[in-house]
Amino acid sequence: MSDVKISSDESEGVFNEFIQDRLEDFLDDIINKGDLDRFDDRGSDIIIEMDDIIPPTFVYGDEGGGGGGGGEGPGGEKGKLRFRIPFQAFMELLGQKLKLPNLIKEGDGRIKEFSYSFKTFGQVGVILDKRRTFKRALRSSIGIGAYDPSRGLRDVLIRRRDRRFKVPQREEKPRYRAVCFYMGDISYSTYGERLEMEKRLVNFIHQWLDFNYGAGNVEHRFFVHDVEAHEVSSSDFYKVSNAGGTRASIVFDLVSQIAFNEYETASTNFYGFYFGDGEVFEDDAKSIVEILQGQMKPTFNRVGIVEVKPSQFSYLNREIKREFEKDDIVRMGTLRQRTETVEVIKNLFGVRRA
Amino acid sequence: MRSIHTDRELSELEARVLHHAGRFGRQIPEIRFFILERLEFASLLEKDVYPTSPINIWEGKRMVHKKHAIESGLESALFYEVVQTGDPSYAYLNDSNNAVSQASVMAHVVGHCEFSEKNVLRDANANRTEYVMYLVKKVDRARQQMGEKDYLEYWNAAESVTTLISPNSQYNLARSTETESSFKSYEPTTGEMDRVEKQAPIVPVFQTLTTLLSGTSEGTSFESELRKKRHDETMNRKGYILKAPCQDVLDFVRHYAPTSRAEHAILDYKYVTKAPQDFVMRTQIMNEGWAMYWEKKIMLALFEERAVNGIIDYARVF
Repeated sequence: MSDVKISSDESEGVFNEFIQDRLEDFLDDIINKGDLDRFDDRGSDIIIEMDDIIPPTFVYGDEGGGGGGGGEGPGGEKGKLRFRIPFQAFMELLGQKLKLPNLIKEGDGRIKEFSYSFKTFGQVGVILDKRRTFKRALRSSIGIGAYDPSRGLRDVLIRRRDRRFKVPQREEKPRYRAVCFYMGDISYSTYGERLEMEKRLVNFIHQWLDFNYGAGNVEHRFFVHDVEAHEVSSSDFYKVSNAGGTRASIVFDLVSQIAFNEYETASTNFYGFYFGDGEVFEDDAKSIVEILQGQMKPTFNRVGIVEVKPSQFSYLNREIKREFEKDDIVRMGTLRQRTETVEVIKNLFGVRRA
Repeated sequence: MRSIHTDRELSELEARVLHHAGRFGRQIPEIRFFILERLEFASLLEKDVYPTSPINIWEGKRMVHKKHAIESGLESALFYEVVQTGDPSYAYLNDSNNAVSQASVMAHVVGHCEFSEKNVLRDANANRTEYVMYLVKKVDRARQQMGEKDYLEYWNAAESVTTLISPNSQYNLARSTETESSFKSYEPTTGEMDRVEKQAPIVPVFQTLTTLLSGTSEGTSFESELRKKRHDETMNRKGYILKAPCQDVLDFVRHYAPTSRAEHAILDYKYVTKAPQDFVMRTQIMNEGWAMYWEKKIMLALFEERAVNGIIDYARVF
């Protein structure tokens, strides 16, 4: 028995297949409730955490009745289900499922990325393609009569000319540059569920842009504002807070200035996303509309304004809607509860019906 | 997994531990020690301490989680004694432990094995590990016969009943049911291996006449085969009289539920692997006390003859 290797590899394989088969059903859940922790593009796997799946459990007695205590059942550990899937595959699936078109890539894309793929086959090379070689060898063995099961001959002769090798082919992909500005209102109370909802959405936007442009090609910059606007680090974006007055237009102004002054507008793809409770003054909203119309809309690929848990005083989207209701560049979203994340993503990135 | 004999140092330690156990008059079955890596260890625990298990998604799920937890440092892979008692007993050592812990694990295992051999509940099964390995093969075959979907469904159903096992209850199967078949004394596993299927009596069949009488609309041959199979299964059910409500539900189900062979294999596997836990739970304090007592005695003897060093560390931990 000592040569047995104890492992659960096969069971893990079956489990992973089971998850992959049902991944599409899980997608909504993953976006709404799960955590998408992305490590890096090259690691290529993302670990997804979502609510656990548990085996059906045996319950006896009336449900809710006093005596029928019913066992908790197998696998009843409460917690998270964790699994890995390739980042690329997951994002593609997500794009399909949510019907998100690929983002427009503008700019000259003069800088190229090179990679090699084995797509063609030749008679000389280093890496032998065993399948093709065997196929050809079998065909010619049948041809010359060396392989004929009816006569008991089962020789497959692999001749030199049957060999097929994988030949690397150089692939060029244009490289695009993109920059994404995240703007947050710190005058409203971002903590608890509100913060978590905002984080989830920011995280998704982060992943989606990285997927579309390639992780190294997107710059993510974070801004916060109350009555003034500042640039902050990505971790501080969720931390800083302030109670008091608010002026949102200054952050739009700052972002559009940075976009013009620091980047080559012709070759860069700009994205801007604003998160706040939408409680702004009337003149503030008006100047935001002006900035959007005059400065951002002509250069930005997409501007999203998301009201997180808006109140009855939320005024920003109402004002913007008047101007940009069917606009392709400027999009609005309202995130009242967690389960609306998918809907907001569709609003921000989906195809706009005319 | 490798045998302890591949490691000279541990092999010598084992000889010393067994020597002292013998000197103290312990009556122990043959104990086979194996050395495992940490992931093998984690996997072994998921398999209820049997070296193999049928493929199933729940074990896979738990292992994926465990690997993640171990890799990210949320959980250590250190386990002390893991033993499957029987004759021979199989005990597993973690290759990352130091010599003192290995010795103490071996000494501890001696106690457990003897306790199980003496077996206050009289439900010991000498070749439990081998029998489970045989059942695993049967279940894997069952999986191929049933197809993934049915297998998973049935497995889940069987798993959900595993909380309702109580082989040592006063209302266990033997005490709550009466049957006219040969099933009399309660033997959980042995004896079932060589259970002989009853030969069906050969009934004369007059093909022509039968066809004429029954007409031609028999449906497809597949359907009629299926009908025949179900009919046979129903007829094969053993009759029973329930004297009292049976508390050992899974055992009852696996004996009297109308199941196919494949389904029966799954129920058997589930029952045989889970039932011994009842003994462990009922005797936990006695069992641990016994093992701990003899561990101390043997360890002190080992320290005395300087077979292992580190008495201070040992005293600090235990």
